[in-house]
Amino acid sequence: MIAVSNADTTLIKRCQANDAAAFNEIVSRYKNKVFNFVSRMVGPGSDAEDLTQETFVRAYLNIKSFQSRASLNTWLYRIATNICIDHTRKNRKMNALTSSLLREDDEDEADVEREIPDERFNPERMLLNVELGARLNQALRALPGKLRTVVLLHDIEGLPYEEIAQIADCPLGTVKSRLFNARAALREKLQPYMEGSAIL
Amino acid sequence: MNCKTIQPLLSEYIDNVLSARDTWEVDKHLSECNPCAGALNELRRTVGLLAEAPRFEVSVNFMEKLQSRIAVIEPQPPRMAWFSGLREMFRPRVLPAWGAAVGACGLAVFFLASRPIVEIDRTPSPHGPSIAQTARNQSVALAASNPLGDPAAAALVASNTSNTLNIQDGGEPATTTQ
Repeated sequence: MIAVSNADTTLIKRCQANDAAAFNEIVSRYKNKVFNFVSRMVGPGSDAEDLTQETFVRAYLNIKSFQSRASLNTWLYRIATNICIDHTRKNRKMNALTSSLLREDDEDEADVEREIPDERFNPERMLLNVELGARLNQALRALPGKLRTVVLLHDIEGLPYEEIAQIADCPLGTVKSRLFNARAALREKLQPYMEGSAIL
Repeated sequence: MNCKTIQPLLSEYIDNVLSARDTWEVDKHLSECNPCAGALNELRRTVGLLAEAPRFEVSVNFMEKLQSRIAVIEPQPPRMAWFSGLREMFRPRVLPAWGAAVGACGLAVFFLASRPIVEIDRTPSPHGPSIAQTARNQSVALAASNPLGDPAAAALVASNTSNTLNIQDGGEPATTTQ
C-alpha cells in the first residue's frame, strides 16, 4: 500500500472538517498533474479541462469518505482515469468518426503551438520535434485505454508500478505486461519518426 | 534465453526492476544479439520521448471555474464506513480470492459430509479383552500392588472393579467421581 504523506493527511483531515481552504490547497497542488494526465488520455482541449474539473468536483463530493487506504495522488488519478474512460466510451458511442477526426485536427494545431523545443535556431530539428510530438499524441490516442493509462502514469507521470496497480485496480504483473505492450506499440508507431530526431 | 524470451523483459530491464539473474541473462543476450540490442535502443528512445513530452497546464481561470462549480453543489453526507469497506471487499481484484475461499469451504463441507460415519461397537469382544482393556488391566495391577501407599491408586483399583462389572453387564463404563 502506498503511504499517504503527512502534508496530505493533514489536508484531508482539514477537508473532512469542511475547511474550504484545505481543498483549494489540494487542487493547487494536483491540478496540473491531473490535467496533464487527462490531456494525454483524451487529447488536449476544453474537454480535458472540463474532465479535470469533474475530477476535483468528484473528489470534493467524496473526500469525507476517503479513508487513506491509498495516497491522495493515487485516489485522484483513479478518479481521473474512471472519468476519462467514461468520457471515451460516451464519445465513441455518440459520434466515433467525426469527433475523433475533429479532435485530431485540434490536437495537431495545439501541439504546434505548445511543443516548441529550446533549439530555436534550427528549423529543421524544430519541425522534426513538432512532428514527433504530434505523432506521439496520435500514437498514444491509438492505444487501448488500459495500455494508455499504464504508460501515461509510468512514463509521463513517473508513478511506480505498485501505485499504478492500485489506480488501475489490477495485479502488478498485469501492470508490467501492459507497460511492455504499450511501449512496444508506441515504438512500432514512432520508429519512422525517431531517426534523426533532436529530442532523442 | 533466446530473443523471444528476452524481448518481453526489455521493458522491465529499462526500469531496472528485473531480478539480478534476469538482468544478467538479458545483459548476456544483448552482448551477443544485435536485433535485441537495436530493439532495446528503440524502446529507450520511446521511453525518453515520453519522459520529455511537454506538460500541459490548466488555464489561469481554472480555480475560479472550479470554485463556482463547487459553490452550487450541496455537500453530500459521507458514505458510511461499513459500506465503503464492503465495496472494498468486493472489488474486482479481490473477487478471485473470494471465489477460491468459497470453493475451499465448499470442498471441505463436501468431504466432511460424505465421510463414512464409524460407529464404535462397545459390546465386549468374544475374542477376549481389547488392547486398551489389557493395558488398563496392567495399570490396575500395578496400582493394586501400591508400593507407595498412594490413595489414588487404591481408588483406581476400586473404579476398575466397578467398571469391569458394568462392561460385563454390557453397559458403558461408569465414571467415578471422587
